[in-house]
Amino acid sequence: MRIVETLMIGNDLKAKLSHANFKNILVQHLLRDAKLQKNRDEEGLRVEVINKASDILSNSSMYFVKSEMTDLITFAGEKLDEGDILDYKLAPTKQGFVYFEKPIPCVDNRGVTLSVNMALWWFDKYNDLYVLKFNDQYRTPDEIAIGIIENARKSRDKNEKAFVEEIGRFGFIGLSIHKNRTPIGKTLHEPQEEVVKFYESTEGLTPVPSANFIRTLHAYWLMMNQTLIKLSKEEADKKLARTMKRFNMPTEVTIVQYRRVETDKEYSGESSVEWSHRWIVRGHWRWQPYKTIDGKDDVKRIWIAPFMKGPDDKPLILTDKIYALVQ
Amino acid sequence: MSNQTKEQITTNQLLEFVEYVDSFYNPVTGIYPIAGANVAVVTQAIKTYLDLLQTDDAQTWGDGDSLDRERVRDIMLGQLGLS
Repeated sequence: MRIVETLMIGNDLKAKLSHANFKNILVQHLLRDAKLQKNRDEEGLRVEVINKASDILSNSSMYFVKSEMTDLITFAGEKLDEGDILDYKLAPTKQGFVYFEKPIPCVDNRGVTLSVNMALWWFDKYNDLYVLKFNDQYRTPDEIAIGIIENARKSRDKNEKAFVEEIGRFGFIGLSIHKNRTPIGKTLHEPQEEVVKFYESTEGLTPVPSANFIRTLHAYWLMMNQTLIKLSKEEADKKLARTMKRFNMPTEVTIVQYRRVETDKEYSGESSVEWSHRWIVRGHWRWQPYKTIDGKDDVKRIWIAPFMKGPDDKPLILTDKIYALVQ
Repeated sequence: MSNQTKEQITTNQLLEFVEYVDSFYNPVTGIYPIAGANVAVVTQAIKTYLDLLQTDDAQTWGDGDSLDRERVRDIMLGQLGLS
């Protein structure tokens, strides 16, 4: 995938958000979201969130996360403490659109693993966090997307085909809301009473714990400040930049990837071994004390990954085992 | 939606719209590549679309927005025999 496609996908999402039918699909999805059932009557809130999304997108910084980062971000998200506090100051920007080249896996209450390729985040006036999540149904369709597309293909119902055409590549996964300065919580959310009731009454199943995407997003934000990570920028070419400006969209993407690191001497002499992967044997978070600009003592999260090994041009895996192509 | 007619659309707007459509459907650089959709095909499809706007009161020019783009896409697919 070309990195500037992030800009084009963002532009396409903005275009979709100007379609009444597309917006209505998202609102209806939110109205049926089991986790939001407590506020079932607040249809206005959902409409407001979806209406806002287009403006948010225009003013968002765009990020592209290379596929090699996804496993580490997911792993690092699992390693955070549930007491870690979500703070808007930790986000790289108050509004952002991120495209994960390799999607983040997220189990839902049905036990289905959804694939989050895109997340649009912003903070409201109370600095509470809102995140809209989408699967890229064209590049990496998840189980739900495949089902919807297959059904529409087989169906004679024009509405099903129209639905698939209307959503395009944007398989809506849902909305996460998180209060500022509150703990990020556990890796999995136990289904609350209203969620259990909802699934039992509507789908006849007992819901299972669902993934806490906020932890993963939090880990991604923290990772962006780690020395292990390289951030770089890519600009749209002149032609695309003109189109993006015309739609009041950003023209630059921040690329998030691994910084090239020296391979350890221990392995440098082993010319007879061609490693098939790079790998991190272990990794964990540490609280690092530091002085703030105004001289106060504070702590921040530091990712300790002492055993990153293997050739730079090989994909990264997270395991204790080492794989070799040739020995 | 604007009530602008074909005659009122400036050359600049038209060029911008060609670029916009091309950025989506160019077979090499577009995010939704259509084989054979070069600038000439895009321009021809836009011309057909603008002609259509003159005769079809149900459709209006949206200042080259996403709906205009999708209508031009459908015309292109028809012209290329891909619809």
